[in-house]
Amino acid sequence: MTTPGGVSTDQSPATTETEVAESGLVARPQIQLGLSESMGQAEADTLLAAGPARLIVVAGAEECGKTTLLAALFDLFQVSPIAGVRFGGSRTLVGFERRCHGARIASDALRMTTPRTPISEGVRFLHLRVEVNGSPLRDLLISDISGELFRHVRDHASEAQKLAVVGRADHLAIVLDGRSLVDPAKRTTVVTDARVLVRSLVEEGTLEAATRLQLVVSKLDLLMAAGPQLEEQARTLVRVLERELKAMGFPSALHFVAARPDSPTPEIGFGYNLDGLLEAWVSRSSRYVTAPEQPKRAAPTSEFERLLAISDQDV
Amino acid sequence: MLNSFPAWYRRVSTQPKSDIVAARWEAVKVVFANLRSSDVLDIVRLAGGRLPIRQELVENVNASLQEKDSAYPGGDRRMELAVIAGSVLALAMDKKDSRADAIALGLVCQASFRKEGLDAPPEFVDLARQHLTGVHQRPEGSPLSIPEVECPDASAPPGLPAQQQEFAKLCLSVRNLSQLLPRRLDIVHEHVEMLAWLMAMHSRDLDVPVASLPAGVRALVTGKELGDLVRVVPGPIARRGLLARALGDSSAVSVDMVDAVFNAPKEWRELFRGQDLLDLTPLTSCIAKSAEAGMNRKSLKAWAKSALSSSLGNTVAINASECIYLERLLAKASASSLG
Repeated sequence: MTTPGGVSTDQSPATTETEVAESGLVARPQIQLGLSESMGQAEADTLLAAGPARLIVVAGAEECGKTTLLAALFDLFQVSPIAGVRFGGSRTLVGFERRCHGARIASDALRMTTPRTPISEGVRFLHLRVEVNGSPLRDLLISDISGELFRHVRDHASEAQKLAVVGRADHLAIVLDGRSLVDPAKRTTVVTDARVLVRSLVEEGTLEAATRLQLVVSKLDLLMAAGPQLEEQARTLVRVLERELKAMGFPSALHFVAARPDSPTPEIGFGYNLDGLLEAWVSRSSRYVTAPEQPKRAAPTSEFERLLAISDQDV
Repeated sequence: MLNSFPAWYRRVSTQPKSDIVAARWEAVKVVFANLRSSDVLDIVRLAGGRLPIRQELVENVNASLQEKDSAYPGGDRRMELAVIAGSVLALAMDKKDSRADAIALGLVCQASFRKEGLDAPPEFVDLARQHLTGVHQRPEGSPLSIPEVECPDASAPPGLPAQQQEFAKLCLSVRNLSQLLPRRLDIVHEHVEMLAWLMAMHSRDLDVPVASLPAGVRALVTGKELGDLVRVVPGPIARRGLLARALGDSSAVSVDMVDAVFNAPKEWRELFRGQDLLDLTPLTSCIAKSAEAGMNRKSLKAWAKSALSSSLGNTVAINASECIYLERLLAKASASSLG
């Protein structure tokens, strides 16, 4: 069923470019809406098997802001495209709405909240279909995993198999709690936990070099409110972590975000810097890049081959 | 099972079970065993995330998958089919199938000028590039070496059976040599022709000095002419070196592909008509299309995008040259080994 606004409420595939071209209509992607709470691994696999999709695992400790980040992203899409990325549908609208509800007036809550993701849910995914600068619609599968599960993996490397999904991830976004980073009693633990998590995943062979890493410092508003000295110390700690991960073979991009600041200001508003993160997630995955350099060649067996193979290296 | 298959299959499964991976590999073997030469290019299309021209092929591949795993859901699981098709082609290259050169050329040519958003497993393109640079080819050694004829053993005991055995060995040796010699001579001929062409640097098609052509046109013309000189597909491993020499200082120049196509003489572009393999040879197809009446830069770009899922933009001259060269080779390989 399609509403006059071009919103499709069924699960049928969007009209293909060919169909649009044949009908003579101007290509305008339909928006797909879905009514699932979240997707399990079987549904995620079906989506991956159907076409190119980005799989993003959002990792981090309990209450560091993982779910809030996803909810804020969804809320931002209600207003306008984000960094050239347009909302093209979702199969987990109900799940997004549930996660956003606590931050809305309709919830009658005194302050904005996000429901915690229970560990019993295991590995679940939220789905977004987006259009990037007019290119064909692209699926994003973003994990919503309890922080407790990451703690288990961190504490017992053998538990890393429970996060085997990381082995397929195009992006691993490690969320560092900005509030804890400016707490002298907690900040070292935050950075150490992230380092140990990556090490556990690497040691168990779960994390591959093709996965791009992002270090996401959440609650930037609280980080800045702590004063310039504590803020600078926190930033230094994160930069040290970034260097360590690079030395381990996992260069990461740094993102300082404020998904849902308690007191938004003109400088740090709702969904601050989430555009940069989303841009990284929709950019070409390193899993979908062919080696640009010329592959290894056989040893030349004649002067004809030798001379010209050598001159090739100058190009 | 090829060692990399579980990693390839991981693309379409968050946490694949080993029995599923094994069943998929069995299906890959079945598809490979039943692979008809006429279907090879369509399998290349599937591996590139495209639909084959012969649509029943999807049903055939799905049937093979269901035969090995009755729970396989079927339907248009485009990415999974791409992985399965790519694995079939990887297996063919690994087994040095007679169609391996055409397969490798198809995979590489298809990957050029891909429109953003049509992600497809790139591992198979990398394997194809390795194949074309000689890592997996030339099992018989140097292309110029001639093996010795195995002479009968003079000390063989007298008597008919022993003499017959020696004679049979001699016959086999001579037969192998007779099959190898024409190929060797073709390679020598090819090398001589290429060197002479490189020394002259005079366009065979346009009858003008190559240096007098604008950079973009030079890239297209040299790629096409070097491709024409290839007698034994997939040609010399030093192809980029040859093209670099032919292009000279302009090899690293960035060229607008649409401009390059339209700057080439129309009569030359007409030579490409009927030489293309549609989306597998995007540049050849665009050159042929540009020669049609009423085509201009804008309409060519739009056509490439809709009909070929290709995006003709800027590229380095030597890459454009290599692209058209490989497309010429694909057409040759397709005609000779795919029927």
